[in-house]
Amino acid sequence: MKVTRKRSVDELALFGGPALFQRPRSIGQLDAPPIEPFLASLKSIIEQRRLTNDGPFVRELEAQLAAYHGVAHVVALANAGLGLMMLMQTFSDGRPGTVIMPAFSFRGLPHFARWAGQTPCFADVTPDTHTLQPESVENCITDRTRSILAVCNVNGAGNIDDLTSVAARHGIPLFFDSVYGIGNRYGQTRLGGFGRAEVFSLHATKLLNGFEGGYVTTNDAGLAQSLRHQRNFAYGSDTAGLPPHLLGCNAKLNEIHAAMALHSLQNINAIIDANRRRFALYRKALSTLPGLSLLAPTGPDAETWNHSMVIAEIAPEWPLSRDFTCALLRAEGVAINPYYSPPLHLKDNDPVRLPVTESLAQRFLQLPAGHQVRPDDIAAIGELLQFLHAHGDSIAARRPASSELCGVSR
Amino acid sequence: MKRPDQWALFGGTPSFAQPLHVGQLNLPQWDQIEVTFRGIFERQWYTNHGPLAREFDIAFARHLGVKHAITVNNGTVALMVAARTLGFDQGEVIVPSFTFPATVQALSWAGLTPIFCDVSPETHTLTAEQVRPLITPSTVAIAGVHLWGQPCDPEALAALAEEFGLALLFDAAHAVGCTHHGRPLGQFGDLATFSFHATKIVNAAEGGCIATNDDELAARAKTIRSFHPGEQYAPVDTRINGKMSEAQAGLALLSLAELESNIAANRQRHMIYQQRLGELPGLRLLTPATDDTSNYQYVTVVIDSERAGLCRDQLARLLDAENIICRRYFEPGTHRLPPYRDDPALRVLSLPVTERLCRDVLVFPNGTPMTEDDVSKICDVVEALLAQAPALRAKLEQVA
Repeated sequence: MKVTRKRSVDELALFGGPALFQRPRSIGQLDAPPIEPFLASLKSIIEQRRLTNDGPFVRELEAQLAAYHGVAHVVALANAGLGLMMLMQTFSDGRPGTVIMPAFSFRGLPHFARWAGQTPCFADVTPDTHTLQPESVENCITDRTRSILAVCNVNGAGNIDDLTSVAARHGIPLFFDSVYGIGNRYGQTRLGGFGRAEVFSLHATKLLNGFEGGYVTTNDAGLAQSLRHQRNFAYGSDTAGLPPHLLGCNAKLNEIHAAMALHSLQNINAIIDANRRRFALYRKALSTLPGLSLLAPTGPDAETWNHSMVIAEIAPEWPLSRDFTCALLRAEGVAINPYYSPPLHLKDNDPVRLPVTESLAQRFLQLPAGHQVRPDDIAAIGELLQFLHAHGDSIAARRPASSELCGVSR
Repeated sequence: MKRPDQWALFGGTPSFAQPLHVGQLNLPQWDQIEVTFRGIFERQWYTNHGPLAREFDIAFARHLGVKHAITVNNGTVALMVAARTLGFDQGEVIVPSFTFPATVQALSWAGLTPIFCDVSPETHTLTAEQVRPLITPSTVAIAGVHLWGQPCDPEALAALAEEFGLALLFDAAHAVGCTHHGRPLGQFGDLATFSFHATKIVNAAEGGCIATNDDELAARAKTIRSFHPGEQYAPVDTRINGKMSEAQAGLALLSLAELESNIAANRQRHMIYQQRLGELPGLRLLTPATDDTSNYQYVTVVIDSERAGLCRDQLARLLDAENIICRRYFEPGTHRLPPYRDDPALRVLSLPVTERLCRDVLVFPNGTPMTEDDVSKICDVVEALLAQAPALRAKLEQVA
């Protein structure tokens, strides 16, 4: 597709020039398996008239994902959020209480706690991997703490060993939101078997596309059994042994979504390879830009990363504010967002102060990634950023009132 | 006719080679489905309020004759979103126990306390008379269920809700295509929720919807439905991922287009059941009232074991072996399920009709995979079983 390169500041789309991209470039993975094999599976679903309720595609998907993650049990779900909600309810023993979670994370997390009858308790994160700080977690623990939700991030799984120790010391269930972590490793071990359970997503914008969907991985047979009942209303003739407080719901993954995810799983290595190539191109395109760098995992597990998201960090040397940069890029059809901003405790009007979180929330931008982003798109985005840097002062002088930037901060 | 020892439960050949199920499992033609899915892949728009989901919102609102239909990923999430939409952090909601457990579970997920109410032995639904004595200062809402597509006393409950300033929610999961006094059931109450589960008459594999004529409630429900930044229409404190995917919406649109013909086919089969089973001693088959129309999705039979000679569970067991897979709705009753059965704080009053229905109701197979001949044959089997009731009861007791 033809892109419109900028020759002057007036040509920036925010100031009335033509947009760089006619069709916005997405930040989501949006990969799809080859259509013909998927349609063959869909046809068999239709012919068998088996569209949901723990059907053969769900079972096969669960078996293959369990093998991939190296865990004993996978419970497929309608989406990842319902999985987080179900686990919080399960770990609460039916009593009101709190769930410790990071505030530098997905905006849905506190909502799932409220559905589960729990109050979110926000802990601070580490400056390197932006994951839960074990000391901050320990400081949050009270006799009302029912569970700890840690998040494995784009740039690191976090200090899982220390978090596990804290949770064990206090006898509190620890579980992980690992929606960005399919294929990623902690040390030598692929994510999936840490804590009491981990939750992954099969949403179209994530690494594996099941339209919508999610799954829980666990090595705890009793928990897996309970989740299978919970996703199906905790209803039926065999409910006698269920935990007395278990609240059922409908979190069943349907067969069409399961088939899509199953075909995506067959392509997982190719999807990750393509992500790594795009990430390398971004790295090259941004390598000479002062004040702008890519968030990347460090340490021995970095090589395994799936790079389903590309996050740029804005340092003080960059001539424009993060939100203004975001507004400029969005106007060009670069569909980016401030990353985890504002942080969740501020959105919730929680008076707690989380210095690392509050600092991080000012600094990151999520760049276009995934299947729809081609190599020349990355080159064009790189050139645009070079242009913004080179003309930083004159662009900054034309910064609109901050209220006009609000649209990018949600 | 088979002799008592020739029934499949005692080693004979089943009456049907393949099992017949209760669910509707209506499906459009493959070529239409293929076109729909090729379109989704072409657009690379798989979920997140895509064009098919938007189209289905509009199409279903038009079908119900309501201003807003907010479609979601399943019927339970529809109930959860609806319960949150009412805007209460706590309070009591009067609800039947004789319903699919999701009705009650959704209230609990939303932080509300269910107060179980008994139902009418005629319609199996709440009535205003039964609800009224349960209203206390803690009551915030009434959640009626249009069970089997039977109207849940809509006018009288609306009057009662208005008298006490309560919200009125209807679970209409069974009621797509059903009307009361000429009005679709989605038009009653502040909010009504629907299901598009594969076993329902409109099939999205899984799916659900919240319907309302109230702009403010619609804005809240649409906001609660997803975390999408572009989908904020009202201030709410709790949201969920309830998005219907393009795959679900595509299937639902095709299914909705076939609703009338599917109702007509259901009705034909239902009429055979009515004519045949209605004649048998001890069996009462629920039929719509004169002023109402039904989707005839459920063939609901109440069995009087003394007159029929077999109790519900005995008949179900015999039929199951014949590959006639009936459902014992709702066994166990919701008040006997976790977390309600063990909750000492819950006020569970005497529910005699509910207990009796949980013991006596049997729902027979109906839906696209079945022919009218299948229905006649099922009725033949039931008739023969009841004719041999004393001998079969004796054999069943031996087996036990």
